[in-house]
Amino acid sequence: MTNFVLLHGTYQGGWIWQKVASRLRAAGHLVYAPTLDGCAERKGQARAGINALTQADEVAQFLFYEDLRDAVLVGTSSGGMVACRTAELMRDRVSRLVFLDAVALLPGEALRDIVVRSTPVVTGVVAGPTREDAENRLFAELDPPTKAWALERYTPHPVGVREQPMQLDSFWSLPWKATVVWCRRAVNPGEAHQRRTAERLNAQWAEFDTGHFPMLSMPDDTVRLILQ
Amino acid sequence: MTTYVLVHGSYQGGWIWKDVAGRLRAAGHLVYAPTLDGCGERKDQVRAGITTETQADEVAQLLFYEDLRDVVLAGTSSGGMVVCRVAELARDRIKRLVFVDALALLPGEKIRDIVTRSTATSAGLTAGPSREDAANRLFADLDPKLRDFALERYTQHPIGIYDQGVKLDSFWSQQWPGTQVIWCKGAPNPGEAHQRRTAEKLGAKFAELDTGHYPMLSMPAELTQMLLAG
Repeated sequence: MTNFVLLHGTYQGGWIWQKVASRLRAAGHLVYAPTLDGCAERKGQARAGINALTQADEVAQFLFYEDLRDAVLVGTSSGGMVACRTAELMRDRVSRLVFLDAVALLPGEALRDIVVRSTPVVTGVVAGPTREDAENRLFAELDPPTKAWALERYTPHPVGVREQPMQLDSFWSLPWKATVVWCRRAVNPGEAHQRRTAERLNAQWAEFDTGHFPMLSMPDDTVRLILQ
Repeated sequence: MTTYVLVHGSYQGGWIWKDVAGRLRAAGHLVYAPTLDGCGERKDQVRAGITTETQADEVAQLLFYEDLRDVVLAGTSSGGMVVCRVAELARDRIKRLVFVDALALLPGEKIRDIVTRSTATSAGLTAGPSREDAANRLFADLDPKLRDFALERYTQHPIGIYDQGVKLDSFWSQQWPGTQVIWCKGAPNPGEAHQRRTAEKLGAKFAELDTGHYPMLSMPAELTQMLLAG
């Protein structure tokens, strides 16, 4: 039995992992898919000051409180930033990292430096796509029931995640067992970013012929890869 | 497979259910033990305005976001107050309720109307026991290893859940078939009278455990069996 902690990305919550989590659980594993601060069922708590670092602090504490060891962190999209920071904060509780079409920033970089073609609408302390944009661009490739399910659930994301420059002390100089997955049909973060992460971490490399939501569009393949 | 949502109480986080959750999962069930706002690993997010109702709003939303149906919703200690509110907010997703030595307040009641012997001290946005009080009173009946585990993890609790009377619109006038009320005989609080009141008002099954206020730590096998049996 392996402990998996699945970290969602922008506009998502733990719900994004439902198909993957149920498959991993059916295979006998312990799976946590925490919703990050200010997202999904925690959207009512969105406020100034939330960023990937504060979200990672909480996930790191979560590993302690749940006393998880040998955890495999799986991050997608901006959840990759949370995974990097969590990993360095809880080095002795993390055994492996999976970056699933994820963003992995160098210190000082901000998400908006990498993801340049996104068009979120800023509303106070959160930003996100309009319903039309979500339907016709973000979730365009999903089958109709999955798309409807995601459209009912996507939420605008705390702006700090996009704006706050990344802070990492030792992550990129530590040896990690890692897998990097590039989703070829995803506009962002793009191949160059995935290649950079893989090269720097000397990670196992994989490609999926799908968009930015492989956990929804290719759950079986995603699970196979996570279990490798 | 049954879906269980386990709601922790004061000074706790989802971690309090670790043993019971593991046993339920081993029996093939899906278990969520969310940490409430301002507690456990979320302690650094404590701020003004956290109440039973705001914590319950989030858990009710969790049921929607995770698309959970036929949920067995269990709460312990002040988590019982959260359970009551979640139940009325997400009525059609609830299968049955379990009160594990829990508080179930009437509209307008406050915890201190029921729990009179608490020695928690308040400090700003939170209240809770000192380390000494936690070691010698709260967790006194746990075996040393479990006590250390709990002492490393207990946290001060958002003050709003003590200060504010609970808000419930329809909870006590609805039928909640299959409800279980479990009284822990070794616990000074909330006490037998409170457990009997809850059971009577809900027409619930009443059960007793011969242990203190943390049956999920001290009697996890017995409590799991009760949760499974319904």
